[in-house]
Amino acid sequence: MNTDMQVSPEAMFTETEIGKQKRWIENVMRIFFLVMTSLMIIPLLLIVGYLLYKALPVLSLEFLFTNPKDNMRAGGLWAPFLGTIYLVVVSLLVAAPIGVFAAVYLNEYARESWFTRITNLAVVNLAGVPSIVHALFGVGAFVLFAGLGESILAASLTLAIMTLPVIIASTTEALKAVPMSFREACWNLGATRWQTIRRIVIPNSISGILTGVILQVSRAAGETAPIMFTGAVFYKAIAEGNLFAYNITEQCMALSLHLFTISTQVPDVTEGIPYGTAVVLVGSVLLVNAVSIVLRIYVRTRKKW
Amino acid sequence: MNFINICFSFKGRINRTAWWMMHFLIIAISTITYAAYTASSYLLFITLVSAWMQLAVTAKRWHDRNKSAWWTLVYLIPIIAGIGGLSVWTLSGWWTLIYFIPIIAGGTWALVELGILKGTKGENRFGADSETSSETVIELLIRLCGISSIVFVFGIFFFVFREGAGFLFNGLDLGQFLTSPEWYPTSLSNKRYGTFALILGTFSVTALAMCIAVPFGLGAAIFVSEFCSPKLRETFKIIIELLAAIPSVVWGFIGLTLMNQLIIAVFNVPIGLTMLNGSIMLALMSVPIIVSIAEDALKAVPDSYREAAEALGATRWQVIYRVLLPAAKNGLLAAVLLGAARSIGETMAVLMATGHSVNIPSGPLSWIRTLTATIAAELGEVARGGEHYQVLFIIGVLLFTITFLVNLIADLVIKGIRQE
Repeated sequence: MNTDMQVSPEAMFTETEIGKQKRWIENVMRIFFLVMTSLMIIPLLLIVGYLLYKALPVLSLEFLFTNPKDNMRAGGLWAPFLGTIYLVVVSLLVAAPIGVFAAVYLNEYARESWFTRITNLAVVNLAGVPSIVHALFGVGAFVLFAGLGESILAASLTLAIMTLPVIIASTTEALKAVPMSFREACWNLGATRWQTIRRIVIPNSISGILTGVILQVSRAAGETAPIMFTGAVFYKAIAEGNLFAYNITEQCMALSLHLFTISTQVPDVTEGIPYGTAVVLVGSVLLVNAVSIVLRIYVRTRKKW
Repeated sequence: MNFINICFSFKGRINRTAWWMMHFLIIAISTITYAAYTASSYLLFITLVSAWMQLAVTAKRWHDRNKSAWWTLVYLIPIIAGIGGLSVWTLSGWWTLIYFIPIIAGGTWALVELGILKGTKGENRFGADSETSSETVIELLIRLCGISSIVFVFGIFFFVFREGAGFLFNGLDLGQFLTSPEWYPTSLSNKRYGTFALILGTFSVTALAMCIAVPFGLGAAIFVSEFCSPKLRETFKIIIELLAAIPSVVWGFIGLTLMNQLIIAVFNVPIGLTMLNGSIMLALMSVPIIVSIAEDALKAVPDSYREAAEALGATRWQVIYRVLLPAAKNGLLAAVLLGAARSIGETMAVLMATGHSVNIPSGPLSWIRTLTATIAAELGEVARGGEHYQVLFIIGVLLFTITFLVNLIADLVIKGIRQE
C-alpha cells in the first residue's frame, strides 16, 4: 500500500514551515519599510501643524494686507507678499517660453548625438548649481554687467534661469507622453515638423506643460538666496492695497527674505509674526503645488490613449 | 527659404507670423545692442542693418498680399501728413485734426495688411505659397532655446569666475585658501582667507545628512516601488513631492525654532543650532530627491527579474536584497550622489540652523559654518571689487566645480546603466 505517498487535500493547502517563515519575513519587511516611509511623512505634518499652531494668533486677512510696521517688529506682510508676486510673475514670463521651447527642441528636433547629450547634461547641471552660485551669477551678469542694478528685473532673471530646468524637465515628460503614432499620422498627411508640433503635439500635452509651469511658480516663490543680492531688499514701504506699487527697475521685499530677516536679524519681533510669515509662504507654495498635482491627476484620468 | 533670405532678401513671400516674429527679433536685438554698446560706428552699423531687415521683411510681406513692395511707401503718408498737420496745427484751430486722418488711416491700413490679413492662397506673381515660411524663424528660435542651457551653464561659470579672477591670479595664496582653517577676511592687521574649516563644515554636515537621509530615502523608495498598492503609491509620491516643495528658508526657520528646542531638550546643550540640526534639515530636504531617483532606478529593473526570482521561491525581501538592489545599484548610487549635491549646495537652511561660526567640526553637536552660508552672510557687507568680495566669488567657483563634478559623475553612473 502506498498511503504514505498520497497527499491529503488538507495537507496540500496547509502552509509548510518554510512557507510560514517566508510570509512572516515578508510581513516584517513590509512593516519595516512602511515605518521608514511614514517617518518621512510625519515631519511634514508635524511642521505644518506646528507652524499653524504658533501662527494662529496673528493669522488674518488684515495680516496679509498691511505693511510691516515698527521696524518690522509688528504689522503684516503686504510689501513682501506683493514683492514675491512680482518676482514670480516676471521670472515666469521669461522662463516659460524659453523652457517650453527648449523642451520642444530636446524632444522633437534633437537627434541622438554627442551634442544632444551635452545639452541634456547642461540641463541636469543647471538644476544642480547651488542657489547661492546663481546669486553670484545674478550679481555678476545682471546687476553689474548688464547694468540692471539691484532690481526686480535682475532678481527675476536670476530666478528664471534657476527654475528653467523645472519647466524643461516636466515639459519633456509631457511631450514624451504623446504617442509617436500621432506624429507619424500627421507627417503622413504632409504636415511639416512645426505644424505637427503646433497642431498635434502641444495641444495633446498642454496640461502636462502647464503642470511644469505651475511647479516653476512654486519653486521661484520659495527661493531666497538668488534674490538676496540681486533685487530683494530688507525693507521697503509701499502703498497698501495698490497692486502696481512696485516698479520692476527698483528693489522689492520678498516673503522668503522677509522670513529670514525677521527670524534672524530683527530683535523683539512680536511673537507669532515669523510663524505667520512662514505659514503664508509654505501655504502659498503648497497651494500652488496642490493645483499642479490636481491638474496632473485630472489629465491622467482624462487621457484618451 | 532659409533664414538669411528671410532677413535680407527682397524676393519671395513670407506669412504673418514670420513678419511679426522678425519684427520682435529685430527690436530685441537692437534694444540689447543699444543698451550694451556705446561706440557710435557700431551703432550706426546696427541701425543700418536693422533698417535693411525691416524693409526686406516688409517687402516680402507685401508680395504675400500680392501687392508691389513699393506699397511700403505708404508709411511715408503718416510722416508727411504729420509734418503738414503739425505746421497747420500751430496756425489755426481744431479743424486741422482732419490732417491726422491720413496718419491714422494709412498706418492702420498698412498694419492690417501686413500684420493681420492672410497672404494669397497658392502661387502668385511673386512666388510660391508662404504658409510654412514662418517655420524657419520658429525653428531657429526653438534651436536657440534648446542650447540655452549650455549657454547658461557656461555663463554662470564665466560671470562668477570673472568677478573673482583678479584676486585668484593675483594675490590669493591658493594653498592657504584650501588648507588653512583661518578665515579672517575682515582682520585689520592680517587678513587671512583660509576656507579649510568651511570646506570641512560643508562636507561634514552633508555626510551626516546623508547618513540620515540615505537609509530613509532608499527604504521609502523600496517600499513605494515594491510593497505599495498603486493607490497608496500615488499618495506617498504626492506627499514626498509636497515635502520637496517646502522652501529652504522655511527649513532654516524650523531649525531655528522647533529643532533648536528639541536638541536643547534631548542633548542638554546650551544652544541647539549645531551640525546635527543642520544635518536633519538637509536630510529632510534631500530625501525627496533620493526617493524619486531611487524609485525610478528600481522601476527600471525588468519585471522578468522579479518573476524569475519569485519562481525560484524567493521571498519578496530576498528578491529585493539579492536581485533588485544589485541590478539597480547604479541608479541608487546616482540617487545618493544627487541628494548629496543638493545638500552641498543648500544655503539658507544651513545658514540659519548650524550656528554659523568658523570652526573645525568636532562632532554632531559642534557649531559649524559652510561655504554656501559664508557667501550668503558676507556678500551683502563687503565692498564691491575688494579682496574679500572677490574671495567670495572664488568660493562660488569652488562650489560650482564641486557640484558640477558630482552631477557629472551621477549622470555618467546613470548612463552606465542604460548602456548595459
